[in-house]
Amino acid sequence: MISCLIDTNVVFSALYKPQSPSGIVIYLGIIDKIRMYSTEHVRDEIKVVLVEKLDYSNEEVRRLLLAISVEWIPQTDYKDEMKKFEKILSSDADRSLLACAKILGIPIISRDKDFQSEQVKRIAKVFTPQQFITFLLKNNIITRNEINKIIEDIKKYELLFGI
Amino acid sequence: MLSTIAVSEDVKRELHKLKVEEGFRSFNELIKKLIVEYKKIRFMEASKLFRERLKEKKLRLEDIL
Repeated sequence: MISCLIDTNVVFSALYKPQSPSGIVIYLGIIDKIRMYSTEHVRDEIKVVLVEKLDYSNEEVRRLLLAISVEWIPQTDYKDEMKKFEKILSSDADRSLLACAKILGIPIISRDKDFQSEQVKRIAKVFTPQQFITFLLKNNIITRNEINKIIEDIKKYELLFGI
Repeated sequence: MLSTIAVSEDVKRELHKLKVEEGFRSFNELIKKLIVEYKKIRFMEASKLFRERLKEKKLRLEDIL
């Protein structure tokens, strides 16, 4: 099964619009088509936004983090590697993803323009959610028919939940 | 490799009924499907709350990215 690293913006975009490419990526993780990882730094970044900007309670944060089906990589696994990228990326969360991408040899999925620099691309493969879906289709990991079914499934649930 | 879990007689009966009704070949297949469906619902609930909270706070997605 293909693995990838998920950035904060993908999580929020997916929650905002489940039918979007970000939503489809998270959905592929939920239905076990791909394996999604992220870092404790990204998890903390998500928590800060939810609590400080959206008034989430601790229980609501906990539920959301479970709902996205992401496996969190502990800081101890990547903190040393992260230090090497201080000149390339300004955010701790971005550096943590780059460190894990290098250690694990798996791609980062992000909409962040900071990841589009040549310096970053020399270290790790970075896809936008749409590029990642195209990559999965081209490599026959999923079919167009499966994507269409996923979109129909999401639409059904959105209707059910009044989203 | 398969392993055993303990459930009550009521749950066992319900699982068996569902397995027959939905045409699953095994309990493993049925339970796997139930887990995925539960996870989908959990995600949709999280999405609903997230959108509601953004609306309440009069924020756009771009404001929090």
